[in-house]
Amino acid sequence: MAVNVSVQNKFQIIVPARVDRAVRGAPVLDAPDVDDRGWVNNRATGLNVDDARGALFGTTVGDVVRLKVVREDLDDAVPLFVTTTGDQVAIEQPAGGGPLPADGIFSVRSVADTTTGSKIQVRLGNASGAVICEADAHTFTPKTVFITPHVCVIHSANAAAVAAGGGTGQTPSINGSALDDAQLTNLFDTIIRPIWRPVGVEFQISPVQNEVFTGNDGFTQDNVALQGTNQIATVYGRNRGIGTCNIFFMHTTDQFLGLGLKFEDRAVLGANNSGIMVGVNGDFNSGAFNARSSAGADLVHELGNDTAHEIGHFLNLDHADEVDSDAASNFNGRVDTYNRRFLMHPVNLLPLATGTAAPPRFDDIGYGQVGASGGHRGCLVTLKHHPSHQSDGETMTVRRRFRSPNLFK
Amino acid sequence: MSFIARQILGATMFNTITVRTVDIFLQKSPNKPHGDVRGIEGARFQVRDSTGAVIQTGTTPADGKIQVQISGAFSTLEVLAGSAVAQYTIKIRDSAAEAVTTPAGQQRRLRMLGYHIGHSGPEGNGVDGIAVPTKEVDRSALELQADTPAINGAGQTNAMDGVVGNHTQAALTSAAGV
Repeated sequence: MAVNVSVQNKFQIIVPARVDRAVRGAPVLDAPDVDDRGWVNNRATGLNVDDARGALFGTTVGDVVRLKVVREDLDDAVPLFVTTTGDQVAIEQPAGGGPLPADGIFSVRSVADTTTGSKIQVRLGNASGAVICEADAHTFTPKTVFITPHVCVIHSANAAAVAAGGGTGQTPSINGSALDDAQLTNLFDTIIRPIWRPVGVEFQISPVQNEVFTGNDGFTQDNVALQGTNQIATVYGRNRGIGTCNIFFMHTTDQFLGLGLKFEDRAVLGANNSGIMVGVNGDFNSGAFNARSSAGADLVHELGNDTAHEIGHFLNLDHADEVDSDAASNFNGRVDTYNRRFLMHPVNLLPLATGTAAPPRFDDIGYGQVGASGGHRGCLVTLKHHPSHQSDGETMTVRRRFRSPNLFK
Repeated sequence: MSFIARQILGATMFNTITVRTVDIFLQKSPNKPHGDVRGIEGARFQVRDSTGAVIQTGTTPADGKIQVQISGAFSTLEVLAGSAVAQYTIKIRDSAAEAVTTPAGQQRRLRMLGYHIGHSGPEGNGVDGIAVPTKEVDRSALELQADTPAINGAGQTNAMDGVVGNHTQAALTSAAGV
């Protein structure tokens, strides 16, 4: 079926297709998000360079990932093929590069992390046809974050009372089951690993360490962590796994659902070490406990996203709003799709953007409207570095962090 | 059908046949080239007039430009892909472009520049004039902002908001030429 073109002012540009994420919805290990924020290159410093304009995507050496060609201004019946340039990636499916199936999905094998730029080229008609669309491939050698997970119970009762079987603090729980190794593995496998895999970040997780805090540690309310800077230092200093990222899972955190600190930022909140805290069941604010509103698989999505977000802070990323926004004091001030797509957007559960000033952008990348009123922030760790966005180019910021001697301090 | 005047045998005269042409750029990415490579090069094409007769053939150059002759109400640009054909029905829109301050005017210019705004509206090209933009229009506005150095430049703050305000309208007008 012909595409209608109505030419104004004697010229018309036709861009037949684009490369997109293969699926919508929650993060999937073999379907990385693509950084398609504008067609301009604006690659972060350190990324290999080629002349592709369009989406950038990252993969880890050895992985096979799916991507999708979306026909925007092209007949459905026209056969499309995909080929590659450079030596970082190769086409896995369809064999011979095409023709692509009706859904436009193809898969790419990540071959090597080299210094040569690599492109995916979408071709018209056959494997040597005209190139109608490109995407920029970046293959990364895996960097490992060693994780020591701590499952913490906080009692307001003193140590003696707790030792005697007293204390009413609760173990953090997911969907009614106490947080354990199996749930953590599920959290990482279903959400956290898929988010970080396109950056070339892998996780090695130690068995859960159970920690008990009491009134003797300065806690005055059952379950609630983060009651001032002393408690942060106390928590972050407890039974640390040396050379690892220590994540402390709490029933309830005070004011924030999560807190991630890199070593250099420790003093700001009175800590002596890097570390991460996650309020698994909710937060405590203005004298009231606020339970997480998600449930079931969505709760896993939310917790995984929050934990992945705090890992971003641990790996040297700022909030997307914080550095470059006129709404720094308003965490939900920027409502544009790009910002909401960032893993590092300050807020996870977001209201829908509606009205003429804020059109229906929210689910553009498909990560997650939940119900009719809102949804999750996205999972994109950016590859592009737009000049107007100071905290951009996150993938390379993270990868550079692995050179720091302070990474696991 | 066109009629060409006949002259008596041996006499000399000229007929003027006006064939309107439009520049169609097949590109790998939207917006005007700024010294970079965007054209779809090496695509074989043919153009049919409204009766179905082939009136042009060729292969796209590096910039992807095809000067399409419009004979009659429309012409059909066929990009040949092996044995298959990608068809584009090319019509000239003689009316003045809608004001850039209006949703239709913004959509029109985004479409001219090759951004993907869908196929809604009476012309089937995404120009529907609806005030609350679709996700496609919203995404395209963001892409235009990201692609425009005057907006997405160093020191610009909170610029890529998807809202087509004064700066984005200026970028649209400048790039589209109307």
